[in-house]
Formats: sequence, C-alpha cells, structure tokens
Amino acid sequence: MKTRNKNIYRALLLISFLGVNAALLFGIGAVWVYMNSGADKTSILHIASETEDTYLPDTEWRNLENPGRPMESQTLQDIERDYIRSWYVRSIAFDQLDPYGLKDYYTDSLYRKLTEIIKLNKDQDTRISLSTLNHHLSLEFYSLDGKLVVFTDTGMEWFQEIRKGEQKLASGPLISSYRVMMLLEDGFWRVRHMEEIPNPSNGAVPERITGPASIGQIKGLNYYPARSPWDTFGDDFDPKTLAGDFEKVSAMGLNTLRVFIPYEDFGAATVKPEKLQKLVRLMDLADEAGLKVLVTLFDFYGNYDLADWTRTHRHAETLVGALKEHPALLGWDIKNEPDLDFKSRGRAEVMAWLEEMVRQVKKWDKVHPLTIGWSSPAAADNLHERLDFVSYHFYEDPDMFVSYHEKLQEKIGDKQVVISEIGFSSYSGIWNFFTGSEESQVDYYQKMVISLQGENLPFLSWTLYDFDQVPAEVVGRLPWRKAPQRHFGLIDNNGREKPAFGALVSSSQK
Amino acid sequence: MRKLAFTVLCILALACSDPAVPVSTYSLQIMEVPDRANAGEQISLDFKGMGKGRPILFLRNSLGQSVLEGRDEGERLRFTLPGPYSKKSGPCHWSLVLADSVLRSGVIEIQPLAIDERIETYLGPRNVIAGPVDHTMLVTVPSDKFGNPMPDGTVLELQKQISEQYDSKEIQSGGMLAWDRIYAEEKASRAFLSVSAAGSTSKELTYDIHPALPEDFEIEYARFHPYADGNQVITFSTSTLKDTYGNIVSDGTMVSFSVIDADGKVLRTQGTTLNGVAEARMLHPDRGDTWTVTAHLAGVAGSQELEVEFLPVIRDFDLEWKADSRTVVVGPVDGFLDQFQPDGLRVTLTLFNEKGVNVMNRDAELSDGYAGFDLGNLSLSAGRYLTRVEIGGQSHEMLIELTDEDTE
Repeated sequence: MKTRNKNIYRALLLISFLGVNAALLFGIGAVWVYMNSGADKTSILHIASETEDTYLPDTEWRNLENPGRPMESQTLQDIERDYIRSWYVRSIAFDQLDPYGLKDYYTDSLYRKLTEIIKLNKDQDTRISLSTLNHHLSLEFYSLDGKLVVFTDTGMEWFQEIRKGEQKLASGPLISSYRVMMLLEDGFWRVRHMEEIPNPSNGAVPERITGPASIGQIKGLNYYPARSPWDTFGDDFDPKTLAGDFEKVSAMGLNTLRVFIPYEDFGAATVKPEKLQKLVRLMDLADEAGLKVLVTLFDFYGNYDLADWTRTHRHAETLVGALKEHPALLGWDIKNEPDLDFKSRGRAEVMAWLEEMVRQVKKWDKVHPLTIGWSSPAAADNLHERLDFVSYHFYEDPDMFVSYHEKLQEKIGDKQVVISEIGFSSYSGIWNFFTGSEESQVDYYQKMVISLQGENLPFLSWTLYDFDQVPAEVVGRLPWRKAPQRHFGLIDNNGREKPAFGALVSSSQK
Repeated sequence: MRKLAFTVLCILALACSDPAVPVSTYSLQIMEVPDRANAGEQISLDFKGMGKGRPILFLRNSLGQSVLEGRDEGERLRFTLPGPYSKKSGPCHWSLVLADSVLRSGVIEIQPLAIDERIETYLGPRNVIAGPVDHTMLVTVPSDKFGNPMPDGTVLELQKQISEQYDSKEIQSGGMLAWDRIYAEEKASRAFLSVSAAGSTSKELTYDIHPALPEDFEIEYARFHPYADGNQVITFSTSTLKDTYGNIVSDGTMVSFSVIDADGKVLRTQGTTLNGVAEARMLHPDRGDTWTVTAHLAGVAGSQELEVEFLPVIRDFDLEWKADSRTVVVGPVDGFLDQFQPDGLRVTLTLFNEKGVNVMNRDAELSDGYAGFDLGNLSLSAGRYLTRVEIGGQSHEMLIELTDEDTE
C-alpha cells in the first residue's frame, strides 16, 4: 500500500515536472516567436517609405502660358503637390485647432495670419472640417528665376462642416475662386498670398432627373457566383462559371444583373488594374448573354468622413471612366443600403457624402442613370430629386408591400422606382423554429410578383444561388443571422432549381 | 404613487423633447451692415432681432472660417469682426444663422489700405552677362501694412543705377504683382535697383553684369636670350582678353598654351588672367629648336600661331681620351659668350664597336665646363671603339682603343 502510494507520488511528481518543463519551453518559444515576428528586418534601414496620398482632389492645369518664363513639367508637379497639400494641412489645422504642418506650406506672414484665425477658433471651440473636391488651375505668372509663381484656382468646389464643441452648426458645399502666389523657399513651394476672386460665370447645365425608359423594363437578379459569394472578383473568379450563370439567367427570361464592387478590395483610391480587368470581363460576358448590369459601387465602405471624400472620388472616377462606354452598363447604384449607416455615422454625414458622390458621378457619366439602393421603402425618398430613379429593397411581408410603396410614391411623385432586392430565405432550422421552407419561398415570390406587376414595377431578385458560406462582414457572426442568409437562392447548393425558380421564370414569361 | 410616477415621466418627456426654436418666430432687422470697409478699421454688423434664440454669425474669408457670438448693445445685437477678418482685404462672407436656418447673409468687400512703407521685391537671377540678350527680372508685390496685396493698376516707380547712369520707369501692378525685365548693359558692372511709390520704397537690390565671352586675342613671348640652354625660362603672355563690348574678362580666367616643337611633340602650360592678361612660363629647350605656340580658352576663343626659334647654345667643345685613367674628357664647353657653359647641361656619350654596333650609352651633366666618362670598369672587351659625344645638338666623334689591361 505504502509503495503504491509512493509510486503514485513519484508519478505525480514526474508528470508535474514534465508539465512545468513543457510550459516553460512553450513560454520561451512564445517569447522567441514574438521577438522574431512583427517588425520587418528592412525597417532597420529606415528606408523612406512612399506614403500614399490621402488627399486627392481632382486637379487639372488649364493654362500654362505666362509672360514670365516657360513652365517645366517637374516644377509644375511640385507646385501642384505643395498647393494641394497646403489645403490638406489647412483642413487638418482648422479641424484639430493646431497649426502643426502649416509652416511647411505657408510663408511666415501667411502662417501668422492662419494661426491667428486658428487661435480665435480655439478660443471659441469652433472646428472646421473642409475638403476641396477639385482644382482648375491656370498659371498667370512664373518668374524668370523660377522662384515665384502666381496662378488662379477657379470654380473650386469644396465642402465644409462647422462644429462648435460637439455640436454641428452647419455644413455644405461651396464654390470659390482664388488667386494664389507661391514662393519657392528651401525646397517647398509655400503659399504667400491667397486672394478670393469672383467665380467665373458659366451657364449651369440643367441636370437630367428623369430615368430612361429602359429602367421600366428591368427584370433580373442580384448576382454572386455560387462558390464565391460577396467575392465575385476574388481569386476564384472564373469566366466560364460566369458565362454559364449568365446563360442561365438569360434563359430564365431575365435581362438585368446587379453586381457589387467592394471598395477596399478594389484598391480604394487607386483601383487595382487586375480587379478592373475582371469587372470588364464580367461586363463583356453579360453583354454576350444579352444582359445589362447595374453596377453597385462602394460595397463594404463605411467611412464617409470629409477627409476621405477625395479618395472615394478617385475610386469612383476610375471605375466610371472605365465602364461608361461599356454596352452592358445599365446604370450606377452609388451605394448599397447606406441608410443602415445613418445611426453609426450620422445621417447628415452619410447624406452629404452621397449627394456629393451623385454629383461627381454625374459629372463623369452624363448618360447612364443613377440610383442608391436604399434598404427599405421608408428610406427611399432620401435624395430622390437628385437620382434618376429610386431603388429600394423589400424583404417584408408581401401583403404589406403595396401600402408601403404607395406611401413612398406619394413622397416622390411619379419618379421611376425599381425594387432592387426582393427575396425570401427557404431556410428551415432551429434558428427560425423550422418555420421556413421552399414552399413559403415560392409563396412569397408568387405574391410579390403579383404585387409588383400590379404596380408595374421592375425588380431584381435576391439571389440566384444558395451559398455555402456567408462572410462575417455581411450580416455579422451570429448563426441565427447567417443561417437564413445562406438560403435566399433560387438554386440550391446541389444545383437543383427550387420551386421559387419556376415561379420567377413563369412570371417573367407572362 | 402611480400619479406621481406619471407626472415625473411627463416632466422627463417634456425635458427631453427637442427645444429647437421654430425660426418663423424670429424676426430680424438689419440695422447697420457695411458692404464695403477699409482693412483694419472696426467693422461691426448690427441687427435687431425679435424672438427666442440668439443667432450666431459665420465668417469666411480666403484664409479661414470662424463663428462669432454677438454682443448686446442696447436693443441691437452687434457682431464685431475680429482682427484676422477685419485686416484681411477681399470679400468677407458672413451669414447670420439661428438653429439650422440662415437668417441673412452677405459679403463685405474689405479694401486694402495705402501701400506700405516697405515694398516687397524679388530680383533674380542676380548675375547676368553683358550684352543685349541676358536679363534679370524684378518682381514686386506691393501690399498694405497688413500684407494685403494692392489692387491692379497700382503705379510704382522702378529706379535703376548703372555706372552713374540713373534711369527710372513706371510699372503697374496686375494680378497681385508688378514686374519688369531688366536687360544687361554692354558694360560689365554692378547695377542697383529700387522700387518706390508715394511714401514707400523697397530695399536696395543689386545684380552683377559680368563680361561676356572674350574674343580672339594675340600672344607674345619674352625671354632673356634665344639660346636653347635648358636653363632659362621663357614667358608667354596674352593681350588683354576682352568681350565684344570691351569688358575685360574676369580675373582668374584660365588660358591654356600649347607648344609644338620641331619634332611635332606637344608641350602644355597654362596661366590665369589678371586684368585680362594671362601669363605662362616654360623652360628653354636644351637643343636648338623651333616652337609653334598657340593659346586658347577651350571652346571660346584662341590666339594666332607664334613661332619661337631657339639657337644651339654650344659653340664648340673638345674631346680627349685619357688612356691611363680610361676616361673620356669632354670640355671645355664654351657657350655663346665663350663662357663656360653653366652647370647641368646634359652631355651624352654613345659608343660603337668596330662593326659599327652601338654597345653603350651614357649620360653626364656638365660641371664647371667639363664632363667625364670613365670607361674603365664597364667590362668592355679590348678593341677599338668609336665614341660620339653630343651636347646641345652638337656632336663630336673620336676613336679610342681599349687594351686588355684597360678592360680588367
């Protein structure tokens, strides 16, 4: 008995010794790994990293003729860069109430004047956020020794927001024109004088606010490939799959696809060419299948901050520029369900961003209609006067649809409306107490289609396929949210057409 | 108890409700708002408002934005522009705001004051070359005492002084600045500029007019005697180097001299100018020769060719074979004045055997008019040899005989 106890003690002792050793080794290993990860070894070299410009207003030089001396393109780039940055540091200084950085972009006398205003604002606790959106520069004078330059910045569009403490007092767009003198001092072009001059008078082009007839004919669906939902343009991008799917959609009697462009994934301010190439390929394939594409921009974007505006403008400019001539392009959906960001980002902030983005996109593409994919009929009257057609999503009870829609139509008049997402999940499981089924899905579709056709409304279904995986960014991590989201498709994971598929097809053939 | 709770709830609900003032209840009268003002003067905007709430004033000029709170002056609500706004010329935009709505808005055009005592000027480049092409540019940015640029059409006087010549010219401002090109004169000198207007002036500005590129020039030489003694120094010098307009080139301009001798070999020397004249020196050759000398500034200007002849310095010399000491004695060597030729002149000895094959060369230097070659311990085989001795281009030959005894 004693020896057995002794053996047990020995064994325990031995095991605990081994355990302590293992823990020690593991601990040392963890420290070792920690010490050897993280900072890149090249960081020892302090190689100057090329910082990405975060302030990218649209800038152009309209005139370089001047009586002083011919302008060199290198100098012009320097002047442009320092002038744009002078606005950037100024916007930060007025926002943070700290003149940090102004000295590099303004001469001493102007620096003093700016700090006086900043001090005044600091005493009053007034903060100004501003972002210039474009600069149309004309050179007026460049001195013979290449150290002084005068140019005008006419019709500069900018946006400002005035806050006092936490309270927002005002915000809005402005158009101003300036005459600017800059001096070359120790390698920086610094602003010496900044004078406001009258804005050029130009006949404002009346904006087109009615949607083209083809909008009324829309019948289609929101599209993601079955294998790569929310990642159409990722590594799994396969033209064959797309071609097959588009063929299927076309055979269903549908004519439109709605696709989503993730903002960060596409490279944010500098759109990645390989992503753009994939998008153009998708549009080509859609065209071959006789489908039109409603391109939804800024998916997964949620910043809206004034400081980020110009970056988003450059993103949209590249995409719009690349696609606006494409025969398959139906129109632009600026953002999917931006009203869901009202709470977290502030309604005014989101609306200001949207309004400006609408204006910018209209500037680059005067032909294709614009909309915003609001999440519900209640939000769909926002900005309706600025949009070419109104679009919203409807996932509620089909019986309620007509009353909701009529309420909206009262507010927006006879503006064309597209229901850009309708759908019903056939999910049946513990998260919805086994209440869903493919039957209830087909029931939903039949009712919806009748209501929509009764109102003569074009619509886009959500979506073609059931998905195996739903990324957390879409509906969060909660399983009772994710599970239904996987079963909105008209075709299930095994490629079988669900009953709702037939319902939609028969409706479109009527 | 329930009643109390209900009352408390009601009060809370009321307290939480939006206290926004309906703007329609606020009536506003503009009492005194200027639409023009001079920079730096006290600028006030007076309103008379009736109703709830207190409007605030937004201000914006080309340098910034601010928000002002008003002050009660009797019945009036007065806003006084703070310094940074009242001192800055140009449009100052204001809008009177209550809650979310703009009650009134407008612009005050603030005029710059009279031109400041000091006029801001920029001049460059500061070095120009004489002649009608090169020039400098004077840019002046006239402003008032607050640094506001003057309106277009401000007249300024540009004054210039070059080599006691005074000149003045009127220039007008436009687009914040007034400027003029100032061309170089033909005469190299320093020029002085200033800009003035009524009661104000700029600092003194200077720029230098440098001589233009020099034209072709002449060279000459100076030496103490024409003999190729390998001892004296010949000095080459240029004429005064001048540009087209007669300006003497800057001191220190480098001039290269090249000498080509009778054999086509090239010698080089160089000198820098002082008062336009460059000098360079070279040792006389040690034998009679004819030099062709040229001078040039690379790529800019050159001189004529100059011929210099050097005469052989040696008149004659004797050779003697001293068989007992097995020595060839050269000398006395007489120079051009029958003097002993100065020490250091090179003497060369060439030895040929009976078959006419060159068996040996030796050099020596003249010392006290003589030079000697000891052939004793040179392991030469016995026999007859022809010696040839050359000094300064002159040579003499002599037959000698070495016996076995000599060669041991």
